[in-house]
This record gives sequence, C-alpha cells and structure tokens, in this order.
Amino acid sequence: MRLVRLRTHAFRNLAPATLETDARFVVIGGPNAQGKTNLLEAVWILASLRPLGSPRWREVVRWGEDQAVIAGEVDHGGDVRRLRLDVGTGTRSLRLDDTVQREVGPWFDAIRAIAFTPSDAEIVSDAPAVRRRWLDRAAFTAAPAHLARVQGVRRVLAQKREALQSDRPDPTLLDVLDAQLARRGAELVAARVRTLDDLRPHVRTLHEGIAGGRGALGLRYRTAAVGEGIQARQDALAAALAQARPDEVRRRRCLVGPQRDEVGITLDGRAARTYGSRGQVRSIVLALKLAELVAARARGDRPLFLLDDLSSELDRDRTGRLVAALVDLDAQVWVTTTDPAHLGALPPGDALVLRAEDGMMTPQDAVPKRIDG
Amino acid sequence: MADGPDPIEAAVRALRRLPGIGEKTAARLVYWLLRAPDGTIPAIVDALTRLRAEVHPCRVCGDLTATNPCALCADGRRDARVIAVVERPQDVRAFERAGEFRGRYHVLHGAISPLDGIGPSDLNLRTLLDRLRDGTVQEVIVATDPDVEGDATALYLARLLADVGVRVTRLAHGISVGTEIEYADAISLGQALHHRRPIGGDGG
Ligand SMILES: Nc1ncnc2c1ncn2[C@@H]1O[C@H](COP(=O)(O)OP(=O)(O)O)[C@@H](O)[C@H]1O
Ligand SMILES: [Mg+2]
Ligand SMILES: [Zn+2]
Repeated sequence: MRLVRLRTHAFRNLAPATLETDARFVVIGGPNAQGKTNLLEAVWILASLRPLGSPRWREVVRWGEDQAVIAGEVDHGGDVRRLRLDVGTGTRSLRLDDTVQREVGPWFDAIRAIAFTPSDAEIVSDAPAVRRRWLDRAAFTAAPAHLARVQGVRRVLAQKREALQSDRPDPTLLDVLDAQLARRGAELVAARVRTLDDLRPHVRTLHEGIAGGRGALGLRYRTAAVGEGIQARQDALAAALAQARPDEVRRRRCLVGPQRDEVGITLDGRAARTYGSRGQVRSIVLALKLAELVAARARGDRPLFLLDDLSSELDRDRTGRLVAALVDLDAQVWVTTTDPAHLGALPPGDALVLRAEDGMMTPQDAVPKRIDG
Repeated sequence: MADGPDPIEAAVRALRRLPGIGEKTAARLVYWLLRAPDGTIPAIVDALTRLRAEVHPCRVCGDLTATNPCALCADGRRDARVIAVVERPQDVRAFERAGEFRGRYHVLHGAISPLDGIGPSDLNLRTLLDRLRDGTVQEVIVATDPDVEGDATALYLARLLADVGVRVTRLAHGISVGTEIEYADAISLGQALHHRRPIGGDGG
C-alpha cells in the first residue's frame, strides 16, 4: 500500500493543502517546530485512527477551529482507495470510497502503518501496560480483528470492576463475568503470544544487524493464562480467578487477568527495563518496530512505515544502514528529520523531499522525481 | 401573537429528542409537515397517542403489544416447546422477518450490565421461570447480543436454568462482533439459529 495523496484541513499548524506523495520515500525536512511531526501524525491518524502518542483528539484540531479533515488516497497495486476522516469536537466520522463507515474493519483493509517515534523508548523503559499496548498494536497491525479481542476484555473488566464496587456483589454475577474474562482473556493472551512468536526471530536478527545492538535479546510473555492451546489457557485463567476471588471481593479490585500480564524484554538475561542504557533501549525499540514490518512483509502485507525525528535518534552510520534496509523492504517510508542529508542515499527517482516551513510543505527539487512514469 | 416559544422552534426541539435525529433532520421534517396534505399531522398525532395509551408488555412474554397476551403468544400454531430469549422487542421483529423460527419468545428488556446499573433482578426473568414450570418448554434458545453484556446474560440464564430441566442453547454467531441482532440481516439470523449450541461454563 502506498499513500499517494494526502490532504489536510485545519489539522494542527498545517496549511490546508493537498500533497502528491507517490514516492517510496517521503522525507519531511526543515527546522524545529515547523510541522514535520504534524504531517507524519496526519498519516498515522489516517492509518490508525489514533493521535500519535496519547494526546486528546481535540488537540489535533487547529486552534480556533472545530473541525479538522485528513483525507488520502492509498494505491494497492493499481486499486486506489479513498479515505477521509473528519475530526470534530467529540465526534469523528469516516468515509471510505465516499461511503460513510459505521465499522472500522474495512477501513483497516485500506490502510495500516507502523510508527517509530522518539517516545517509543517507553516501550522498553516504562510500566508493563506500555509493552502490552505495543504488543496489542503489533497484533492489530498483523490482523485488525485483534481490536475486538482487546475491546472485549476491556469491557468485561469494566463490568467486573463495577460489579466489585457494590457492597455485596452477586456471586453468580461475578462467576459469569469471570467465565467471560477467562474465555476472552485466553483468546487475547493466545493472540499476543502468537504475535510475539512471529516477531521474535526477526527482532533478534534486526537487533544484531541494522539496530546495531549487542547481546542476546530475550522476549517472553508472562501470564496466569498458561498452557498449550486456548482451552488450557482458559482453564488456567479460570482457576487463578477462582483462587483470587475472596481477595478481589475484599479489595474491590480486579487482581488477575491479561491486564496484569508482562512482556519481559531481556538483554543477556537481564531486564532491559532496569539495566538498559539509552543506546541499548533505542536499538531494541528499533528492532521491535522493524520486526513488525519484516513480519508483515512475510505475510505479503505492506503497511506504511513512519519514522519521526530520525536524526535525533540514530547516528549517521546506523541511519544509513536503516535507510538501505528500508529500501530493500519495499514499504512506503515516511521520515521526518531536521537534516535530510543525514539519511544517506535514497532510492534514486523514487524519493520525495518536502521542506516544512510554518505548516507549509514545499517539494524540493534536490532529489529528482521519477520521469519514466 | 401567541405566547410561548415559536411553534416551529418547539416542533424542531421536540423531534430532536428522537434518537438519530439531529437539528437538520428535525428542521427538514418540520418544514415537510407544514406543507403536508391535510390529515397528515392528525394521523401522526393519533398514532403516537394510541401508542402510549394502548401498548403494554405482554403478560406472558414481555413483548410490547396492544393485545394481552400478544398475538404471538396467543397463536396456537407456534411451537410451545421452544422459547427464544431476546434483549428487546425489536429483536422479536428481526426474528419474525427472518421467518425461520416457529417457537415462542421471551423479552428480557435489557442485558446484564453493572456499568449501566442493570443487574439480573432488573430483567424480565421471573415470568420466564413461571413459563418453564409446567414442563411444556424443552428448549430455551438464548438469543442475546454477541457482546460482553449479551454473553454474560446468556451465561447467567444457563446457570439459572441449570436445575429446571430444559435444554439451554445459544445462537451460533455468524453475526459479526459489534452487530446488534436488530441489525443482523435475515440470512445470518437464520444461520445463527440453525447452528445454535449448548451453553457450557465456558463464558458463553
Ligand atoms: N492544534 C494546533 N493548532 C495550531 N498549531 C499547532 C497545534 N498543535 C501544534 N501546533 C504547532 O505545531 C508546531 C509543532 O509542530 P511539529 O510538527 O511538532 O514540529 P516539528 O517540525 O519540530 O516536528 C508548534 O509550533 C505548535 O505550536
Ligand atoms: Mg518533530
Ligand atoms: Zn407475548
């Protein structure tokens, strides 16, 4: 998939414009605070229906306006899908090929992306919730149906939390909710473990290669829902829930379930979260993100790959190697950087360099555009 | 000039209280009504007034109806051995449109959802137990929505009915996640009915 046209209106500081972006590499250069990340975020939002990082939706609408538009055209080998997202105050609407969408399924057949931003270091360094979120997003990128598993478990937990708040919770009600949590939780855990198994070999290779990391990288999913197969996981989780019941009722909290699981990341057997240096953390995160892209390619999928502020993240050597590897990977790559020269050789004739200035994007002639069509 | 708010404004505001109707649609309806043929407005007013005055829950199944018991409960040709339990009256309409089901219905008027303050005792369950007492009913098909609340309700019913001696089954869902039964098309409802399965302790 390639995003060949992007239009924004009243989005952050971007000047309303339509950009022709039919290139393998789209490089957004320019000084700080000009709108580079904002443009990348527009692409990310179109592909994920989420703001980049975790700001609120209304922050993405240009100050003083109440409705932002992000629209694009995605080319799937000749089949072009038209996407349009309207972001209002508290409302969002989707149009796919000019038809209003009530469900997000078809949308994510049309566009998907993997993003690597400076704040992704938190995947390694922060609390387990951040790693679970990364893994869920990776599972979603691989198969959008994962979203339903995540939402289902979240909903059961919300219902159970509420049920636990009452002074004398109905035991049958708790049984029923725990049975739901065991079944939906086991399915969620199985999908997470599957995703991690798919990524692991790629993560290791990429970590030692492009990411320039040293040491043996370990990835392990830790859960109460252990076992071979979904039924075994469900039984294990059900047993753990039954055992925790008195505690849960007394403390009025959910103490067992996939919301407590951890994705352990180790370097030479030691927790990267505690012992990893800044450089080590960066290499690991880059390997995780690239592994998603490589795994997607193995499935015959080509999500967009978005890199924010590359120059601040990687030295020249590693950046060069990364760009060379991305050229081979055949995904459309969007990069923001204060210094496009830092990227090294871009695919000749297939790179678009934009210069961001006060929300305006101007194509640069420095890199010639393909003329042979 | 008459006192009180402008009648056009008042009508727009009244219509806007209906679900799915925003300012624009409400205004369009009001202006259409203003030019509608004689008798249109009285016919609507009369229909709505009768709704409130004449429609009540059926004392047997809980469906909303003007006769008591409702036409479906009174119809001797319907199979009294099978009851489909649904969340809302609209779901009965959906089943009838699909035309596959020849049994009877029971309307819960909701699903278990602690977040919305709805517990088992807020559902129309007592009359369901009454209906099962004489041993005529052999199967209860739980046709609640395929979401967390619908699944929890199904499982709760399965536990509640465990000792009653009826077979309790659940619709097999060809229905996509997030689709309420009301919107499911006739074909997939028919299939769901055909592939129903017993409810175990496996979370619905
Ligand atoms: N909702 C908004 N409306 C208008 N301007 C915004 C909005 N959100 C952020 N900005 C502006 O965007 C600029 C930052 O753009 P950004 O893309 O992060 O810069 P960079 O080019 O360094 O990546 C800042 O000047 C900020 O004030
Ligand atoms: Mg930036
Ligand atoms: Zn009835």
